[in-house]
Amino acid sequence: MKEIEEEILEYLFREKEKRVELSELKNYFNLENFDEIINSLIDEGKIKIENGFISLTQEGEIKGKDIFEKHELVENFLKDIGVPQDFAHEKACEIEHHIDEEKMENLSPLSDLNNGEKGEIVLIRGGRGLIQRLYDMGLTPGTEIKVLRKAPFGPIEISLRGYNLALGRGVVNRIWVKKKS
Amino acid sequence: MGQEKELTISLAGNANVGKSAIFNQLTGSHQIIGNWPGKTIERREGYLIYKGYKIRVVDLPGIYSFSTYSEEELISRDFIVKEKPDIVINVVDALHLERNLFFTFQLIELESKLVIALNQVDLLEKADFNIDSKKLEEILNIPVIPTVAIEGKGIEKLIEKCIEIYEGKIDYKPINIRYGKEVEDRIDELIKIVKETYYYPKSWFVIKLLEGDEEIKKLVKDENILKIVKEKSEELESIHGEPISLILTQEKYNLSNRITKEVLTKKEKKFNLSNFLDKFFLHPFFGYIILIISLFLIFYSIFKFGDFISNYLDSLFEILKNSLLKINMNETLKKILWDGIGEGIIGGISVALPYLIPFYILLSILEDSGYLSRMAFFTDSFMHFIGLHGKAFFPLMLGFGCNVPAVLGSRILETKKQKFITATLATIVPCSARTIVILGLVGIFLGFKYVLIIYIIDFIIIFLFGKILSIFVPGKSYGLIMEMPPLRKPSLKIVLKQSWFRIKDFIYFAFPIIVFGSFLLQILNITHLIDGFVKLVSPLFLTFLGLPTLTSIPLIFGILRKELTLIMLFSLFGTNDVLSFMTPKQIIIYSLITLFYFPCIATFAALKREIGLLNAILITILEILFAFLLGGLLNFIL
Repeated sequence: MKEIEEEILEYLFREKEKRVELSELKNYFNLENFDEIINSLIDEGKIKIENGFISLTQEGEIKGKDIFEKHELVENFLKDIGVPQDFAHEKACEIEHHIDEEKMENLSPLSDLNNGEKGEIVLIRGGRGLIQRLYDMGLTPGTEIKVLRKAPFGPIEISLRGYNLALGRGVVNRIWVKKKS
Repeated sequence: MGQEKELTISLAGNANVGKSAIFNQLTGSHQIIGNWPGKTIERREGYLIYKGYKIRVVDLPGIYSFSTYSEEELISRDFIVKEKPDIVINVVDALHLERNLFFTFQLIELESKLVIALNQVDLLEKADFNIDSKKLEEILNIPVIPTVAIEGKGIEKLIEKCIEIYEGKIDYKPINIRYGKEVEDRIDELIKIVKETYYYPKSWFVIKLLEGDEEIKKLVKDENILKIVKEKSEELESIHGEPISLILTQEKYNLSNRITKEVLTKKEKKFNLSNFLDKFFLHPFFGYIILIISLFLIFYSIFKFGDFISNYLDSLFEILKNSLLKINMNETLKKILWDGIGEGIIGGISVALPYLIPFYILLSILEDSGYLSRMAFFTDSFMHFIGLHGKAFFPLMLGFGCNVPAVLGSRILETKKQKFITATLATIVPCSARTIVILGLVGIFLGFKYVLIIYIIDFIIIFLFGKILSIFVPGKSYGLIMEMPPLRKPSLKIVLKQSWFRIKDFIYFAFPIIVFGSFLLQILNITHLIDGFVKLVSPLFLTFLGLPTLTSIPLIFGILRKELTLIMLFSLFGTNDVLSFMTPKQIIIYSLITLFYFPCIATFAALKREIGLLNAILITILEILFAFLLGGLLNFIL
């Protein structure tokens, strides 16, 4: 799928509460081959047009949501490491299209895992100090972890590298894992 | 004993690996617990005499890395490179080998001469693991001695190995940690251009530069070198697509993972007591019930014991006082001696002996058994409301008993900022002395409803202070990242010994301040300087606070012990019927001022110990100002 198509789906996902007119979309993207792209998206069953209003199909919404989440992940990560807001947004728009489908699949914050579920560390968002601290405790990308229990209101106990570690809510939300079955 | 050769050994390792037990086995009763110079981190040192050597043993704080996340890490790193202990005993927890080896590799990189104490091998067998310590020794090429520190097993062998290495009887060449060609090439290039590495080993220094370690970067004066370092690390990051510190951390963990797999064999899993107990201790419902029950038991035992001892102490002091009063000497001198110095010592002892001893014993038991971590885990989300995390729960909780242990307990937090906030908040937790005052004044004369209001005001203020401090105090504070050690039976011997040495430490730092404060107050009293002071502050009391002028006197003496603000109030006005000389509004204002105006002198001493004299004075002034402003405000709005 082309980047520009993904951009359109992401845009429609962001604006899904509103009714978007086809002409509005055309002005926003300002592309020569706009009609061609729209047609191919319709052919793929990603979008539909009704009375001049454009909206996502069920399939299109899944894809749009996926791109949107990737964008958010990258943008937040860039902001965490001190990249200015505008630039982070711009870069996220570029990077979101290059994130491996395989890696992205099942990617979720550690807090989404339930008791007894396993995951593999993919990335940690946060300042240098926090990240280094978590690496030092053995939470390097690729490490397998298991959620032992969740305390009420957020903290989680996990096991990794043969020992148990407690993480507070603020820390848990910064760790992204790939769920394992 | 002048002929003994001196030797310095330091103990290094992760937290909860049994380092204290090894330290105790090595040094017996020859130990001193104090602070690292200028820091609020416990420093434990001791010595032993063995085969003609006088061996100094320095116990380093339990840490997981040298990346200077905390002050503990910085201190340990500095000690190893600057004071260069002859041998470092790396205490490794056999149960958690993989994470422990990660730290071992960092010690190897610091080029310290290591002997590994592979501790808790007994637990390993119980947990149905098996570890091949010979093989571990071969792979690392470092002597590995299996130990069971609590029973003293392997300790003598450990010392012997240290001496052998010291005497050069063992060819010491530990495993070389490699990072792959791209990294190694750049390390080599940098080694050629970086000339001055101070006390640090050259390759270690260069690696830390590549990682961007702030402390090390500060040491490099040559801008050019820093520029080259930056280029090199950017090159590496673009090759690997990952931050350089991650690459190096990951390499070390990969190595330790490989070694662990080679030496550790897991048998089929049988029953694990710690996991079983955790089902209850960490149960989302029963866990809280157990927490509440244990807190109740802690308070109950501290106060039961405290009361019991206090009664005996009081009658003892009474006898002492009477015999002193019988002695023929100048009345003023007698007054200074007894009311000044004597009362000061009594004040100190009546905190230290009855309340601190059980506190330290219980703290050690909680720490040693692993339950303290469970408490922190459970209360983490509540502590976030005041800008702290779970580890601050226990010290603050203790504050309800006495602020002194609460302030001292703040050191279990990681960063300077978190310690500072915890210690400060601990001084406004309503301790038992203040509870006596509030119950005795507000409770008896105004009713329980008002006691509740005063407590609610106090909690709101603790909350606000916490929020404000977490915004304005400089420094870092991270969320909770804490190992959950397996639950185990604490060793009573170690617990008692540690508590005893900590009490000794308290006596050394707090007594001079307490006795001096009390002495000074008595001098002021005898020379009538206090009367002058009362005159000076009377406009403030009368108009601003709306309180009778005489109330300033109990407030001054309350600095020694807060109960005095109640006891002296009664004796000054010659009646226990407070309503005959104070209005309900005045009672409320007076009680609130008592609550906030000054941490008592023993708490001040503890505060000085934990956050430094200057900060302690600053906090004290702020609290006095706050108390009086609050009093004044209430005077105008009520």
